[in-house]
Amino acid sequence: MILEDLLKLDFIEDIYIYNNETEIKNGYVGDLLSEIMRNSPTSSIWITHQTHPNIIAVASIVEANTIVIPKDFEFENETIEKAKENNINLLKSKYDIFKTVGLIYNILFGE
Amino acid sequence: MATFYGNFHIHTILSPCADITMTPDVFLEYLNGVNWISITDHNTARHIELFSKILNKIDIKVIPGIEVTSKEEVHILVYFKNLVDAIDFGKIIEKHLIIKNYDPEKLGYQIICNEDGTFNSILEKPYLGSACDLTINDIYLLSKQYDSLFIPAHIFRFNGLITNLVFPPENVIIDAVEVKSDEEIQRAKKIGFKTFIFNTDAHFPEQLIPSCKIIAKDRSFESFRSAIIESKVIPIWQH
Repeated sequence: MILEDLLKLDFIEDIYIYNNETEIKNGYVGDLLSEIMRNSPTSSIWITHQTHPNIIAVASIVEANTIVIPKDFEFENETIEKAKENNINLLKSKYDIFKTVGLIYNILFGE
Repeated sequence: MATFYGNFHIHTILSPCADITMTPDVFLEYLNGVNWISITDHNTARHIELFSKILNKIDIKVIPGIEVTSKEEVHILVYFKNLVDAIDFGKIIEKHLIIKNYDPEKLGYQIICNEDGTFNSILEKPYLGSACDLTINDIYLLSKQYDSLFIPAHIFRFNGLITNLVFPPENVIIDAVEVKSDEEIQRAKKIGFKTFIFNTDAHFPEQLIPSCKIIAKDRSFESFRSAIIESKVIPIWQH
């Protein structure tokens, strides 16, 4: 799917969009950055509770192109700045992480 | 210069995850061969004064410390020159803990002791096992308002800096990192860390043992700092 498919849905707020034509082929969920480094597939959307600027460096290395945080979380300003420098899309869901992942999974891999 | 025997990451019964026997009288019974320690309860400094007073009687010197949990759930040891600074810092951290209420039946009692080891009271809130709403960078900046040392704990384990964040954060000067084996020292060196500290992260009486030798002039905070910076902290591995 492309990012635009996701942005059409009303549960996603765009915090920073580098390119709404970004192609998303896979997804990954996790909060331990070392685990993301080991296992995240490329061209992924990454759903996490972590908002520290280091998530941008990790996303760049594993070639995740979009990061989503759940409701009640906020990206730090520095994280947003680094996302701009590294061309990573940042989104925020209005649901908790479980529901967010389910909805995104359905769009990405559903019938 | 003299050789001291240390262990600078020790929890008391006040930490909800520590054993219920981590009371002052049990410390007196079990601390053997150690003469320089730090009390580092989770997100609080409330027990340092009591334990320091008791342990000083048997010539064990205590460096005031706290193990803070950042918003990213990274555990950081902060060591202070003065008890007053630790208490002040601890009060701020307690206010920033995300979980205020807790069920002691499920999470462990947060017990404040009397000098003789009897239970004085239960700390009902906040939940000391909680993370703060402060980022690791915020905690660093706060800690530097005091004459403190900033040392991420067990960096390759759960709640460790490298496990949770992979890289050291930018704009944070890390004084040393806590590791538990030669293999971890080598891994840490590859990341760029140069100075280390070796502790047991004691939650049980059996862990109240020496975990490092420190070559220092005396047991002052300044000597502790110098020993770390000059790599005069030598591990005593427990395995």
